[in-house]
Amino acid sequence: MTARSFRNGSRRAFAQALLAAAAVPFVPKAQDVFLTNVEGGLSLAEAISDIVRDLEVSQVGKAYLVVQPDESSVERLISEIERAGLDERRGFDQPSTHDLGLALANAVRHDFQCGRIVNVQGWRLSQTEARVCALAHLVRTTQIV
Amino acid sequence: MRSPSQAGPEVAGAATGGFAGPSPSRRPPTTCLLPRLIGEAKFEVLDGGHRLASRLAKRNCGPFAARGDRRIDASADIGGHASSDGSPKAGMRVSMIGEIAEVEDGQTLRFGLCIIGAGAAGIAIAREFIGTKVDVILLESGGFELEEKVQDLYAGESIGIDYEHLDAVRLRYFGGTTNHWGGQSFNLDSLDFEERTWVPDSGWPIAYSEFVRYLPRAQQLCRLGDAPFSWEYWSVRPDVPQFPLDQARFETAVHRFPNPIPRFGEIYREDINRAQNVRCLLHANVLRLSTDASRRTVTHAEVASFQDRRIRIAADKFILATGGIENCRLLLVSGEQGDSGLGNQHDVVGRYFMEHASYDSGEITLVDPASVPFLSSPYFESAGYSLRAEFKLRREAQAEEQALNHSAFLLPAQRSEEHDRGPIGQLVHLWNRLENRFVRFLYPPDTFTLRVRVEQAPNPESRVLLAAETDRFGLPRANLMLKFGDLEARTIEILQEQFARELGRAGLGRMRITFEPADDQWQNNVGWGYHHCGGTRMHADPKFGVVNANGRVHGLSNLYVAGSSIFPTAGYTNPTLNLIALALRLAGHVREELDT
Repeated sequence: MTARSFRNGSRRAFAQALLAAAAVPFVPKAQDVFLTNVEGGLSLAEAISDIVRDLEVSQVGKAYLVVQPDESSVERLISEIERAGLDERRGFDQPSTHDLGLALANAVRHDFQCGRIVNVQGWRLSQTEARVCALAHLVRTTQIV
Repeated sequence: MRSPSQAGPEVAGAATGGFAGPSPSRRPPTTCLLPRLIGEAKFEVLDGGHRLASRLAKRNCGPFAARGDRRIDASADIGGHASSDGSPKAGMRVSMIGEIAEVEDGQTLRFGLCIIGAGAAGIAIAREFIGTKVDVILLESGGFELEEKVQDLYAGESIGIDYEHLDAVRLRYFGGTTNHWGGQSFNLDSLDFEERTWVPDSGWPIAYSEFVRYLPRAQQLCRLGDAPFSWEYWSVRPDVPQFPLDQARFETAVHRFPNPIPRFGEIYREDINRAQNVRCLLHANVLRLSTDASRRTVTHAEVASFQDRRIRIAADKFILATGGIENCRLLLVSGEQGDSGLGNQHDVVGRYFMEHASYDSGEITLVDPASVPFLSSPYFESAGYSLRAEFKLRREAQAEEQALNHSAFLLPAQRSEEHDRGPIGQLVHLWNRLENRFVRFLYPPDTFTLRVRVEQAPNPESRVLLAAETDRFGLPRANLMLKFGDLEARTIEILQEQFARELGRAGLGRMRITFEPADDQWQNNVGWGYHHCGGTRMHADPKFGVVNANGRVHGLSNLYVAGSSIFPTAGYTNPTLNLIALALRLAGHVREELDT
């Protein structure tokens, strides 16, 4: 499965994968486990359940959605994150949330390079990372997992 | 308001060339100025210099005697060693630095060059004349130590942006403000000398190359060694932190700190003491400069002591070197009655006053502070120098963004566990960890704030004004109306946004911007460099400047100004090194003129 196949699959699954890739490191112990046991290890559900416990990251996303209320949907956020060009810049030969995470990291830097920067309570954040946080917020508040 | 000419009693004896008799109770110190001032009477002065001064004056000697003045033959070789009975004695040197109290009341002393102010510029210029044929007098309002009554002459009000007490930001005694100078040094940019379309009234009337010629010697005077300031020099040294920002957008400025900090009043006192042709008169307060009937030539400075002793110092040339505020004040109070001051025919004196504001704001979280010491530990040492790494937008970026010149560095901010565990602390780690799994958790995020030091744009409304209140000598005090335009805040905003973006692009961290320029409250929270620039700015056109490219006051043949008050634009760097470079240039120019 590639990033494209994520996209072609269920939006919810893609959201889960994104969040797993992007936000698991918010929880250090989980990230360690995650990065070293990608192939056989942590389930997406487990990872996301770790994510949704991180209230503060969720608050960044919540604050972002206050300024961008029209993005207050999982569908829209996933679509926007996709538009950041994940699979245009990096193909995924092997399905892995780790690879997806790398792609997101690249997207974040690319955002800064191109000036796609958002102001979240004064913090200058990449639009992509703000959207990932917003996704985390929505997942948490809607109990998407 | 009382005019300066009305300020004090008439100068006794000045018109007739006579001398008031000294008070017996006022005996000069055994080591004093007068032995050198009065030539062959060198030994007797130890018994009473004032008496000898009177005797010499009665000889009516010197080329100016016909005009009723008394010329002190400063070129006489008078030795300098004497015993208490007047005979030479090895190891005892007569000081070239003396007190105004040693000079007869009402006396007019004449010199080739009169330098007013023994601060960085004045001392630098005086040293340039040591050993020349020019007899020089260096007038200093204070003594060798800080004195409250002298310092009070600097008191004044700030009536613009909230500024410091005017008597706290400069020092009025031998050595001037170098007595509390922090020593930080960096050269002005070539950009500072250029006319920038987005900075009104920018541009210098001299080329940058002309200024740079004097930098090496200024560095020596400031005890800064001979290493250049350029990043090309420092970047190849292994002990210098690597510059982590995009060099297409940002550049560095490695500021240097001398160690120990050179207090000019201490380290160069002996040079003046030993000079055969340079004298320094302490506690000599210049009240005003007077001109001849044509009002094109300064004839003399009226000088007073705290004991109301009044003398006149006549000279072929005068150099005003009393600091950015006082230079303006002295010009404004000088001239003849009915004038608006010297060199002020176009109401420019005091205008375009500039300071260096620094503003701390923002919250910066670095992913790995230890990996970017240029940002996280900007103070470092290399090649025996104490240095600080700063960064700024490149000139092309400044032009593109229409920003003022500036520089910045990070300061550690209060760090809290809440911050490290907070959303941004975690977020800035995220992408780095995903890209390099081995860096995880080794270096927790750390918090910094950004200090931006910004050039103040030339602004005619930012100015030194005469106050209604007068000082001990009846001179109007100086008030300061410091004003910013829009460019200062805009520059801080631009730099912060650009830096925040660069932190993200380079994967170094994130920045929270808290600067709110919409109201002007931020102006009352800036830090100041105590750098008093402009006020007597250099410009080819007297409508826009007080001095010409050579530092000579427009409309006057023999009055010059030294110091950062002549800067047309102030850049962002500490001015001492740069004003000394220009003072050396001025000294060369005046010396050339006096030679011819």
